[in-house]
Amino acid sequence: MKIVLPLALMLLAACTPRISGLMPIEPAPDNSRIDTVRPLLKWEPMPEGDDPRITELVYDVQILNDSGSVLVERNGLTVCEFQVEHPLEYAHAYLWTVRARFRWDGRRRQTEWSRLSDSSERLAVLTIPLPRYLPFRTPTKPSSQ
Amino acid sequence: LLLALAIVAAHCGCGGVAPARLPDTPSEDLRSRFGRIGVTWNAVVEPVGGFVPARGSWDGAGRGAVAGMLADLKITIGLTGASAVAGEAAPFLMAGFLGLGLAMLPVSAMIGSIYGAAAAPDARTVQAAVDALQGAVDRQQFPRRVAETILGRASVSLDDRLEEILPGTRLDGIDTLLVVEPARLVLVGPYNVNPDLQLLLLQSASLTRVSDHRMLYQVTLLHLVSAKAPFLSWGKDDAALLRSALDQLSQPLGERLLEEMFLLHPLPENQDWKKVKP
Repeated sequence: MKIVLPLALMLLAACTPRISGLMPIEPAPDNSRIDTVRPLLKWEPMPEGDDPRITELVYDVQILNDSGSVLVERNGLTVCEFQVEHPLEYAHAYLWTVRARFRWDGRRRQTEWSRLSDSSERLAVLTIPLPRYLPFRTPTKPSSQ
Repeated sequence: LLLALAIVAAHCGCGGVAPARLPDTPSEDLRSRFGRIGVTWNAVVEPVGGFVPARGSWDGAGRGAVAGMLADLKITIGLTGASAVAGEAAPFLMAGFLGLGLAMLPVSAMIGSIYGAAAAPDARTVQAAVDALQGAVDRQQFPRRVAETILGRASVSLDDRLEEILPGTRLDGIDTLLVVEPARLVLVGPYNVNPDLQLLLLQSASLTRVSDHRMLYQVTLLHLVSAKAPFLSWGKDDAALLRSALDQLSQPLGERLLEEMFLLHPLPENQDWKKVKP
């Protein structure tokens, strides 16, 4: 028991997704199966959003297919959620990501795109075509009766 | 990737400085003191490094012998390790496999050398591929293209104006100089007579304060090209494979360097998702 518990905790920690960039709320990165083809994407607000040096804070969202092509792009959102307007395909794997854009003391700045991260450190590896964005999977099509 | 890093580090004689971690982006305080920024590039061309296949049958025979023995040892270690689960018979099996593996070493070396002598390309063909690769790198002017990408992107996505400074020209009125260093290109792959190789690219860039030449920030990005091919294929058709890889990389590299230096606002360290879940 003395050995099993720490091992289990270590395993759990290793399985917990680490996130770079803004934190997602929905779909959850550790339970990415959703029950609609028009998901509502939600994320945590920019951590320093109430800093007076930050102005014109907006968010950009992208939904990509698993080969990295951008399917849905919405820029300049002022709220921390985005309702997908046109239904996605049933039983498909997608990726999504979000970033904040703002002015810091009047100069344009942005956060990196949210993504899953293997390490607590930012690695100097240029990932092409795409990093590990946040996955979700749409439900299977309900059978018509 | 770790293997590639180790190979690069060993090749460059720079063990321990492999760029595994990105430095923090420049602080907003530092950015506010950049002043007028010039962008230039280092026009020195570095040779393509890394693996070169055996040149001719004698070299091929030597490498083949070593590769054969390495393969023999690998199989021997695998079988010896696997036989540890055989219960009471384990010591006998392990000793048997170890003895057999060691006894087979000269045979493996012989087979490897015969294969190596037959498979090795001739020295002139290899040298032609080396020259084709180097010529392609000379003509590509990769650091210049990365610098041009940075300048182009800066004009649409930055409030600071970046100015092009040709290498060797005066820096009148420039406060901070961004230098795109020569890309380090290394072909990496397993030790063999003529193995499939991948191109590893390391691209550095730095920001230096002109008044006292103090380096303010330096970053190195690494990219491992997914294409795998033998050395001669990398040099084929005027190094078409290498040129294609570089063509695809200059734009994303330039954009990423620009973001790191001027645009990305640091957030807290990467976070465990569950810890901050509301």
